Amino acid sequence: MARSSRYGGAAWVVRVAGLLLALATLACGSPAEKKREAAQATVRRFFTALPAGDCAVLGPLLATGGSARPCATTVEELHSHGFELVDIVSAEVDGRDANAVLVRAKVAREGTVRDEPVILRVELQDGGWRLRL
Amino acid sequence: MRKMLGGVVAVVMFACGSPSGAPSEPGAQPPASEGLSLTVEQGATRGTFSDGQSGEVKFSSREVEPGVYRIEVSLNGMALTSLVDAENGVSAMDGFAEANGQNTQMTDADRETVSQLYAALNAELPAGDAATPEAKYLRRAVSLWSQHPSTVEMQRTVMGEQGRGYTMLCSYAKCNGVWSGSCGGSYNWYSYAKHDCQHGGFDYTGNQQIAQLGNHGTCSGDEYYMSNGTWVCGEPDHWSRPKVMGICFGRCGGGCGGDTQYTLDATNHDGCVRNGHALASAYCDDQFSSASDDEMFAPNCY
Repeated sequence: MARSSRYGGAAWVVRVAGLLLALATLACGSPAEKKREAAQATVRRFFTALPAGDCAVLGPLLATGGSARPCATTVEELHSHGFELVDIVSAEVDGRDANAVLVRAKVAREGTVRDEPVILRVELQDGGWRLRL
Repeated sequence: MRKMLGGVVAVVMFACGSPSGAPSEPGAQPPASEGLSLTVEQGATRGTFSDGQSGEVKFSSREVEPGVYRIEVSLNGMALTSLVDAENGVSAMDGFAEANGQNTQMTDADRETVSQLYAALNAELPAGDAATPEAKYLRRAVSLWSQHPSTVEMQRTVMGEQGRGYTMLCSYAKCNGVWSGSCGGSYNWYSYAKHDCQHGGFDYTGNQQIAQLGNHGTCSGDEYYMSNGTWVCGEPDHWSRPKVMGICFGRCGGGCGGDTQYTLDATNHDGCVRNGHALASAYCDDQFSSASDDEMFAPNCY
């Protein structure tokens, strides 16, 4: 009985902590999961907007710096090659860069779906997730 | 109750965190002393390399069973590995983050570093089959990684079988009876180096070149192309079937590497990356993949 009353408080704390953890898990995914979802959303938004070719919409979805080219050039190339997103296969945070997500995507060129998925890199820039093409 | 709700909010916020976080630079190392340090001994080749700007590259290649070689390269926080079964023409290649074993991607900076390592190995190792098997397969694997496009999976299996996996074009690498040097105006044209891209398919003449394969000159590290009857230094950009030559067109690896493998797929890859596309262009992905087994397993022409 003494044992029960002494550890009763601790058990209550454990139960509450468990409840809080469950709530936290339900309320949001892990940080990595949030990154994966945000990166996939960027890829989908980009390819949904690609046919219209409006760089006012597409530009903010593209990473800048490094080897990145101007939005208009990128869009022109993708259009001329009939580049389309078919599906997203998977996404994972880059093992060397916590601010980059590798999105594996099935893509089609001129209506022909490639057998092998391509790896698209989505980077966190200025608070937003941007596709590096 | 208010405290409890506050606790819930605090835990939720802690658990969610920010998707951004502080920028991380795993693998960042202080610059090492510049140059290549190479040790070649019976059954193993190993060493280090630095361009003096990025961190040190470590590499090794050792025979783990008769005819089977384990190759490891470490750079920029990434481990590149290859297990090459030379007898059976099978190579398992991989690349991952050293810190956590997670997948990663070949970046421009990685390719630049590996390209410099490849150049250093070419300068130090004996050419062709004069190199030990460990050194030769190290050189070939490093060459493949130096051209690895960002869009292609690091983990892949490369399988090579002559006649099915690769087709040799050694005879086209000779002109005027010589493997290297001037053709003396007597060419041995290969028609056509082909690729497909945003400009069109393999049959589009702008995606084709008439090429003199082989080590027959270079100009400032570039090739020559025929323009109005004159050889011009540089690369055509989707001209209709231009004549091209130089800097070891058709040879596996970037430029004139230490091996002398001239193959059909390597010729088509050169026809893509030397035709208005960057070395790691996604449009040349399929040519790169097709040429990978050539590079790893095709024999040297001379």
